[in-house]
Amino acid sequence: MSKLAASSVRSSVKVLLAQSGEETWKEAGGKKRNFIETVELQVGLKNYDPQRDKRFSGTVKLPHVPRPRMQLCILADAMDVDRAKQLDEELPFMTVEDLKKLNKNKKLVKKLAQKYDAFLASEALIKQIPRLLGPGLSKAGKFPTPVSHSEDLARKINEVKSTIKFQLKKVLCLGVAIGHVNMGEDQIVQNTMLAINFLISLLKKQWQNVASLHIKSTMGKPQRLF
Amino acid sequence: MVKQRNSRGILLTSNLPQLQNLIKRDPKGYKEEFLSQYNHYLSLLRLHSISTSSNQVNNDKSDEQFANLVTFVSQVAQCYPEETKELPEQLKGILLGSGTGGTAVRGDLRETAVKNLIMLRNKEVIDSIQLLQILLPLLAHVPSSLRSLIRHTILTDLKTSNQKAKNHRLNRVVQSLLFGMVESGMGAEVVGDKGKGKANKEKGGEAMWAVMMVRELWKKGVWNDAKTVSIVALAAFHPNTKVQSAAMHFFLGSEHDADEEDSDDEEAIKDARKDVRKLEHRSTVGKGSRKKEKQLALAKKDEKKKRKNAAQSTSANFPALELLHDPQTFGEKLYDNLHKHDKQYSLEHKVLIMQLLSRVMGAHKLCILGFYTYIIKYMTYHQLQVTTILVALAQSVHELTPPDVLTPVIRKIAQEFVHPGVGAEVIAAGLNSIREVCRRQPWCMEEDLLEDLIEYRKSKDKGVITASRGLLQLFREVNPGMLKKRERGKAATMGENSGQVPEYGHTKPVSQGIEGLELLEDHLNAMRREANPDEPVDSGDELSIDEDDEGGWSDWERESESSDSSGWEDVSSGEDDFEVSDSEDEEREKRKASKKGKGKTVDKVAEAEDVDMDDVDDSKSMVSMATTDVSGATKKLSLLAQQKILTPADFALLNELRLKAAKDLVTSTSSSSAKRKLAALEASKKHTSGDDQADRFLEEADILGPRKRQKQDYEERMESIRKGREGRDKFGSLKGKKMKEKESSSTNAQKKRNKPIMMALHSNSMMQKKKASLRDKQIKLRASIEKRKKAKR
Repeated sequence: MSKLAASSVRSSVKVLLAQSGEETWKEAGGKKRNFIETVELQVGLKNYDPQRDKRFSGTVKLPHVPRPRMQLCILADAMDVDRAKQLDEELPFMTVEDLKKLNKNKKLVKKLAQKYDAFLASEALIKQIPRLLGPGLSKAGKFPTPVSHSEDLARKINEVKSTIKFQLKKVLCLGVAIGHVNMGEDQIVQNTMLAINFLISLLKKQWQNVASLHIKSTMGKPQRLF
Repeated sequence: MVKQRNSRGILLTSNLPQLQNLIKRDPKGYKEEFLSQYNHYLSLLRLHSISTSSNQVNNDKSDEQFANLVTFVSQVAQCYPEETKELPEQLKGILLGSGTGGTAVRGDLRETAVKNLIMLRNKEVIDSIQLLQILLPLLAHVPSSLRSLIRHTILTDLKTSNQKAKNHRLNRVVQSLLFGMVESGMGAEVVGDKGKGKANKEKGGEAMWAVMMVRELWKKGVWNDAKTVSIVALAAFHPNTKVQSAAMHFFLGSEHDADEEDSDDEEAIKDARKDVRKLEHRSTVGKGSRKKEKQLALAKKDEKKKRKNAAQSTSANFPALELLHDPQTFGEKLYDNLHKHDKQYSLEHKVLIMQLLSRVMGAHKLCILGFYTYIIKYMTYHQLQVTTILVALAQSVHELTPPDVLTPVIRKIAQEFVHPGVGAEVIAAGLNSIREVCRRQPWCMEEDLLEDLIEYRKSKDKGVITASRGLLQLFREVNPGMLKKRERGKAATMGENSGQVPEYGHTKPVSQGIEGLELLEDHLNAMRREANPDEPVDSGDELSIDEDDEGGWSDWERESESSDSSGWEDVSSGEDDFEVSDSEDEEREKRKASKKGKGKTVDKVAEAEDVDMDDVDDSKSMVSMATTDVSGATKKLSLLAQQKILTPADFALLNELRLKAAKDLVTSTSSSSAKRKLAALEASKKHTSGDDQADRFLEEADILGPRKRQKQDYEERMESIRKGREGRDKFGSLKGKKMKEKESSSTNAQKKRNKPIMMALHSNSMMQKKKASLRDKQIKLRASIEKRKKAKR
């Protein structure tokens, strides 16, 4: 396959949704799952040597939140603790004392990093993070995003949740979550297109670097886009 | 028959080569003879092992005989695989000493054994795993002549077995062997190379050779995986400093290696260039043929490839650094090593560790905070190798380094290097290194300090001025708020600066889409507005539109179509809009080409225009609908990216637009940062491989800065003059010295003959003749006539 059109993206999304939809899975040849599947974009690259070329990374904010159930945690000072408590659904928080208790213990920090999908931190605290926690968080690629007191916490959370990160590791493929099966078709299509466009703009030779593009739900069949 | 038998009998006893020859021709027939020899060999082997274990010195003769037998047996081993099954094991026993007590042999016998083993490998009696298992441990214990043979064998063997596809099984075995070689020495006490340790000239033994082998294999591209790197990473903590330094040079891609490689590459390029020249010349002579053309094209391609390779190969060992497993632990261990053995290691070695550590920290964005407090004590201007240390410092910094640990270091540098009591180069070096650190982490700077440092731009020394200005320029870009208002520069004051670095921990505002996408969107909108009023566009108008717009045309149509397709749900999926766009791409290129040679390809243009017009007609209705839709609903910028898949043509257009925008910015503001941005864009357009590595790895020259060359004093001048005179003759005329057999000056007659004509015409004697009165001339004429008459007679 050498070309990709908006309509073909739409049709693949349709197939994917049908296969994991509540009513439609039977005729579409899918299977019922007992959880909300995530839709992810899988990318295969080519003409790229991760050992020689620079590994790219980029973040982009999608129009719709791909993973609403993402676990966030705020490393908070006193004021942000209050704000976190006041939110509609309470945001887990950790104070400086909590962090000091971890005592830079690698295993505990790793545990913390694994427990949550992303971190926020009060602006005043952010400078102390490397001292308090060591390199554990940045190693996991979860270095906290700073929040100032003037910012609306709920909106910030939303922003973090809808932000995806493309990061090439040692292998020539990568995957990102771009939605879930309960989202509308339009929403998924929009997220997919933006994600694809952004990824392509990151690549050195744009489309010439792309070997394949797939979308798939967590347990569903992959749909080839490109 | 009898005779033959007889002669063979004579041969058998002493002449092994002859027997070998016969056996190879007829293995079955000579089996008995072979067996007798083999038994002889076995008994000698047993004898040998006993004699070596009891430390007896055996005489040369028996050794030689034994060596001959070994050669013979291994030569014919392939004919009797059953009988000689044990042979490789026995050879291994000879070389390494078997488990039962036979120790390794010395001298010629060892060489013979190695050679025979290699031969057995070549004859495929044993496989490379077996061979390498024997050879690798030998490396450390043999004299250099044999070692080079072994090294060569190992390298070629690995190379050939990895040539077609990676031989993972072999690699794994060899790598674990090498790993074992390194690991075996790890437990020992660290021996420094300073003071007492200096006398200790231990070479590092097996580990050293393991590192060497890995280095060579890596350089040749035979091995390039993470496991290879892990062997060297382990060796970087070997107790022996020599092994350590070899491992570190591996990661740093030491200059020595680079030079070697460079010269090789240069030579190859030169050769290739020569070939091309030769062929070019040939093509001009005589009749041209297709074959010659082909050859020339091939040669040119070859040369280009070589050039490209050479350009690529000049870099630090970037991939190896990237492949490090768990860089954080590696870095921490390096730092511990450095810190713990501070007293034992020599400065050179410590600097090497610092260099590696800083590279690792920079490449993997590690925070090893102790390093900065450690390095402070080296920040004095009289410290040896201080520039390298400064480079290491600057390299270790990245955007995730906490600014508060860097501030003291910066302060120390400023105190030590940047004050009026030191030389200009020192100030320049200090300023440059501060700049490099601040480029990576601008928030480590303090306002008052910056103010002081910037004042140095009024200095008289060029290096200092450039360094200080560089610092000023940097802060104008990254954080103009730190500067006084009058120093901020135009761009920063007017708020046009986009390079502002976010505060520590903040990432750059998450991009809503693609850089420059709004330009594309604006462009498309403008095109739409332009197009809509006059519906039937005639081809004349279209020709007048410049190239960018033409690109926009095709894009615009495509965009409208695809936005159309995503605007409505029930679009038939059979409509392949990409197909259309593709044809448009071609068309666009065609047009570009036709623009170049307008006169020739007018008809082509017309054709293209026709196609284009058709497209317009097709999509006209959709366009109008789409535009209304878009203008009604789109406010957000990233909508374009959500609606359509950007095609390669779009990206090309995007780049062009960005370039244009950057140019506009330069003309409007004329700020240097805008210029730099433009230059970067242009560079990226030229060759898409953006080498960010350059700004990652720092060189000493960056810290030293541009230096004005000092004026030579008398001694230096005389020295250079004397050097120039070496091996040449004295200048001056060679007339009369070399031409004749005997030295003499030239005669007046010779000089006269060579006198320039104009000078001769104006010489005194000629002028007098010319100016003479008529009477005098008559007298002279008469006299000469008289004289001639007399002479005739």
